[in-house]
Amino acid sequence: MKDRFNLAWGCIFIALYILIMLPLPCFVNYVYVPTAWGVPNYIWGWLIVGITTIALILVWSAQCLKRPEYHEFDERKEGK
Amino acid sequence: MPEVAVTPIPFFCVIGVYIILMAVIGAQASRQTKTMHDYFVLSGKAGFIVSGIAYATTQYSMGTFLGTPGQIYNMGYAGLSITLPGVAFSMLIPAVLIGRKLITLGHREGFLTLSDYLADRYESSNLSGLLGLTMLIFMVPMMGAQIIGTGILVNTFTGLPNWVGVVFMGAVVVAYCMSGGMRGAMMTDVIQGVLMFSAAVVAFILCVKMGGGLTALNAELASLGEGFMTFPGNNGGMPWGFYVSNILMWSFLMMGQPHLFTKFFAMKDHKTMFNSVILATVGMFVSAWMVCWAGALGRPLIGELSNPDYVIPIILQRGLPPVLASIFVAGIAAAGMSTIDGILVTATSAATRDLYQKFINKKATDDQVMRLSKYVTVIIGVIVIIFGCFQPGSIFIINTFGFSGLATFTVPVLFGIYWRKATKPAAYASIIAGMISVVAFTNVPALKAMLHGFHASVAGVAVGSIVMVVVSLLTPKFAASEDTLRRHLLLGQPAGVKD
Repeated sequence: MKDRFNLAWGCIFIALYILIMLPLPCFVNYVYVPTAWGVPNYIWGWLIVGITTIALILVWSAQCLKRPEYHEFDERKEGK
Repeated sequence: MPEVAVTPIPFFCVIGVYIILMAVIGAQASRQTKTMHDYFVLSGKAGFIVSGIAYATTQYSMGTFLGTPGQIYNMGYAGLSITLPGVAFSMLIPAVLIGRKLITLGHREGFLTLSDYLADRYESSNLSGLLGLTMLIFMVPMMGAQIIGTGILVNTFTGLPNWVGVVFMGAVVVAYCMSGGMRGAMMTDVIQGVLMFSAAVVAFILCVKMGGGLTALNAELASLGEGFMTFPGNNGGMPWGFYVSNILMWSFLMMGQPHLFTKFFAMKDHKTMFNSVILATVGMFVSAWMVCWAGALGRPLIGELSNPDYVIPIILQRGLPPVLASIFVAGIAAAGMSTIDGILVTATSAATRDLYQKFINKKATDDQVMRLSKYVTVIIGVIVIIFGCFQPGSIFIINTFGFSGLATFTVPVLFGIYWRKATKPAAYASIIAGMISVVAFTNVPALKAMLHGFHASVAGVAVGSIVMVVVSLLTPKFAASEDTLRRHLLLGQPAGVKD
């Protein structure tokens, strides 16, 4: 596979995306399992996956911007 | 005690200031809009703050602040899955799968619209006409749903008839879109985004404060029935299939929405896209959590409501002085206006560029199209206002109809970018089959029962995908030329790229 970098990140995000859709009790619970402040347990499951995703977006963005293909249209280049 | 107190004077004062602000921004945008590319995609020069906020505010609609919290109010915590599990992926999935390629294609090929892209990829100018027409059919109801909500808000807070709010707000949006095009829409989106974000955060804080804390509110909600704390929700409205459908609709199916698709063409460069994804994701994540959670907690806080859609405005009104409450209610109106403006500019481009310039008058110059676009914006705006005055259905039903129809474009977009064997007849067939499926799975009870809770738009995209594969394999001689495939699949990378 030629574009291993984008493939790897695509797989990571799609894996998280599929994970949160699974009918696991930490995401979809038919029984009330109260946690801190009486909040149902699955709310924390969504929150953890959401925050993890945002953290990975930050890493992904930083890594992408180090690659030349994402600087093709930079204004600095156009001015040259 | 009435559910919502009528407070016309503070409401009018705040709305007056807000509208003047929108008008000033529209006039400023008008002075900077010189060409057709400016009008439709800011000539691909939008920075990350404008792009990120415009993406988020166009995705967030009146439903985010009225319809969705209303559904959650009825359903309990399971209802939060309408938005929350998928929100972190909402701009990420489109950016990862199509965004980075669209920015490259937009800059290299000069694409302005979804139809530009699809017509070029499938080498069919007629496809552009079909898409332009179907976009208009589905976008008018989507805008209508937003403007109906604005009319209801004005009616509730001033006692004036719904049509007053519909006409007034509709005229304001048409004015700044007509004068400033995409620039006017995206610049006003920044103000509207700040207002929406603030309204969501304030609603949640007020809710917790007035209810005596999260623990007390949750205990009271649980005492109303365990269904409010578990799946499939108090009214049984959130089976697993619908949970998955909401995650897909909030992110994956957004790729077929022309008004969001176009935002990638407007971005200045890839750095803008990455920063926009971060800004939009964080903004949508925080505000969605706040406003949706407030919808669930509103049940024990406020008690029974005749119209649950008002749970957020009521929380704001009961917890704040009238002027402050009106400012944040203006934030809810802003959610509708920012969605309408993004769709209105895209609908205008569908009519003038996709239908007129490519189909009716192929000799029309870009300057002529831009001038025509201003008139067409007004005409479409008037149609939407009339639609809003007649209110042919509920906000939720109308909005979902429009969204589902446009979601079927996801199939030719994705296959066009990733599968070289996708053919022109398959693109036509997948769009038509997808749209027929959406209508059938929505309206035929026997077919709806077969979905086991999945939304009709998911079924429509699944059917469209199967049709795309089968028809493409049956019609290999209609595959795009090698040159087209090389450009669209980005088979030639710029110098310096290392795989």
